[in-house]
Amino acid sequence: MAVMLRIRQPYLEAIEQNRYADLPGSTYAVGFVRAYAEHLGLDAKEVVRRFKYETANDFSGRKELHFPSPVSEGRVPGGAILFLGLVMAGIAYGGWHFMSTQERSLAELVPDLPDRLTALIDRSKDVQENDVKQLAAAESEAAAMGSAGSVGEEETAELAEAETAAEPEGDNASAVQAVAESEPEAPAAQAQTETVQAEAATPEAAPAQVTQPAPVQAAPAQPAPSQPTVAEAAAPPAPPQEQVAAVASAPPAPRPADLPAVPSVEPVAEEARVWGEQNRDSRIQLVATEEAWVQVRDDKGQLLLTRLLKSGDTYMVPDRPGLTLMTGNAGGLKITLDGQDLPTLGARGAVLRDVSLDPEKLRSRF
Amino acid sequence: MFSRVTGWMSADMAIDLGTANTLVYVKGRGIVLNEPSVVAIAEEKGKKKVLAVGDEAKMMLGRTPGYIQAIRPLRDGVIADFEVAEEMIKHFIRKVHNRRSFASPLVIVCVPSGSTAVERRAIQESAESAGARRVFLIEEPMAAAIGAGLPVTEPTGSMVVDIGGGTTEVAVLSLGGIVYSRSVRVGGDKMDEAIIAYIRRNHNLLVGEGSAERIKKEIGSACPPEDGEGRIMEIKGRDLMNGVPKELVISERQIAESLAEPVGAIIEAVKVALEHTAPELAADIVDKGIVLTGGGALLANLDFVLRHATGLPVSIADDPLSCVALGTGRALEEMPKLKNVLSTMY
Repeated sequence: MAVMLRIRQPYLEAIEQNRYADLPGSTYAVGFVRAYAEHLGLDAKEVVRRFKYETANDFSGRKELHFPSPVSEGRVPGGAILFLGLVMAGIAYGGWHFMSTQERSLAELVPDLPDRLTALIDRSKDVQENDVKQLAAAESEAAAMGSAGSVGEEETAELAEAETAAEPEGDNASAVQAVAESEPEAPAAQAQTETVQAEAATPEAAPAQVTQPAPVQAAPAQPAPSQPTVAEAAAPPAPPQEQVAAVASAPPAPRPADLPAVPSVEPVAEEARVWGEQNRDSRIQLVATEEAWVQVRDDKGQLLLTRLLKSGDTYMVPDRPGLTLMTGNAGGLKITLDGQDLPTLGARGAVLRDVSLDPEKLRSRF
Repeated sequence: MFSRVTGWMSADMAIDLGTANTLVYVKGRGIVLNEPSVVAIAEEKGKKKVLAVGDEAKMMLGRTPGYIQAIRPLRDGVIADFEVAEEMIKHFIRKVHNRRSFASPLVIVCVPSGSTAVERRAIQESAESAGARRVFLIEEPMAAAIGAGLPVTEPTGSMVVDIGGGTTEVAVLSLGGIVYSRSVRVGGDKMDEAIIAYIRRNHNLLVGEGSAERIKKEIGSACPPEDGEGRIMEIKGRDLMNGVPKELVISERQIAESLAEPVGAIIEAVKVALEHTAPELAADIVDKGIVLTGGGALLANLDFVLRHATGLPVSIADDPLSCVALGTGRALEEMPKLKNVLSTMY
């Protein structure tokens, strides 16, 4: 029989004697039983089914497959690294948490600048101005708090020079022509007219104002920031004279007009200034008792004034409804309504927004 | 990283991409699909469209009008028509894969051990373009041995003969690896062809592939019956002499004669494999014998013929048709443990 089936006799005997543990493996055992049954003329399927049922315990389920795997080399175990990393992250977080809870007020309010230091800043600014006279145009503008473009200023100065140079020669350049139109109306000396024209040439100046003989008169009509320069230049009559004289004497020099302009500005910077002089008889006036930043807007949000008023400076508020005031130092600002002082709007250093500059509302405020 | 997350939602699958049948094993669900590897393609306005896949397409095989083509994209265990094979895999994956989950599955496909790198790459690429997230390949004899329940990881030799549709794989396995393997391009298809050739030669009757397969399944035998003609069967086909359909009766003995050549080739392959087996492993094999898997194992008396030819005990695995699919599925289920039987072409 073993020869016929080629199944070794011990295995066949094991099958006969139900010694299933001696058989090589479930797959082979089932194969042997099937071959044996077929050979004996039995119903192979039934025999195999019964055999499987009988051996269900011997060959429990499918055998686990264990692949031989090479012994892992000695390395730092990944788990340890992970654990260490977690621990360190925990420590880092704990430390941060501790620090952040201990020193809660790391971000303190920036303290106000002491007056001593503010004075220093102001002084250094003045010193700078005095020193750097070469940067006249730009610097003088800064000192006067004017916001007119320095380029424009320079251009006008140069234009003035060109004219002064051209005039004696009797040249009829077109640029000079435009200037010349206003000349007959100017009662002052030739040099003075030139100064006025130079001012008039700034973009904001209207031709009508230029034609007015007195430069002081022309200035207040202009609310633009370039005014101060004009006003100051006009107030002390001497410097312009000198300036033009200097220009006349040396026409090819490009900058002489700028240089003398600076001293004319500086003395004024120390004095109290008046803004919005065209609103001479306005009902409301803002008078700075100390340095205060002031911004005035009209009802459309258009800026009328935005600057730092020095102590003693005055702004004449135009008589228009819907004006609002914003100030950075409510205590340093005195409001005069119809010549009568109103109490201050707030404490020193208090910031106020959207304060209506309507006389009635202001009155009712106090 | 993301693919790992979506992996939980997708139904990973193992595919036994066979020449004759394709079986799909889904993780946790077992074999869910067993259909013939046939695709019917219809040509519509110059465009080729898949008309049917699987059983439906197999019915069309050899019975198609001009605009339909029933194609078997695999020949001899490898992809012969790349695009059609891709369509077929795509169809099967779509059919099996859980439509609710948008994730693409991990797929293990088995390849014949004798296939070349180009053929493997073709299989892997078509599985990838069919929508697989990741593709692994497993060698067919290993999958068959695992599926048959052989102790492949033990230090003992096991011999498995997997007779598929296109190829016959003979392999000796030990310690989880293939010690020796041999793949011959003889299988069920070659048997069908042999039957067709025999009937044409001896009876001047032309039968189709489908008919030949039916004959093989019903009265096919590896060796002639001991006495008489054995079982008989009526076959239908076209008479080659006068071109009319004809019916005749054929016996088991005749079919056994016709199958002598492919069966001989299989025996030869087994013998060659045994010759190349190391003596220690040969000793193990003498003890336990050869296990037959694959559809070819169902050919009557094949175990008997092999037993006599080799002198070794030969047993047929349980459910030989699904051994490879089961083994591939097991590799999928125990992926971390059986990782070293899987390979990838990249």
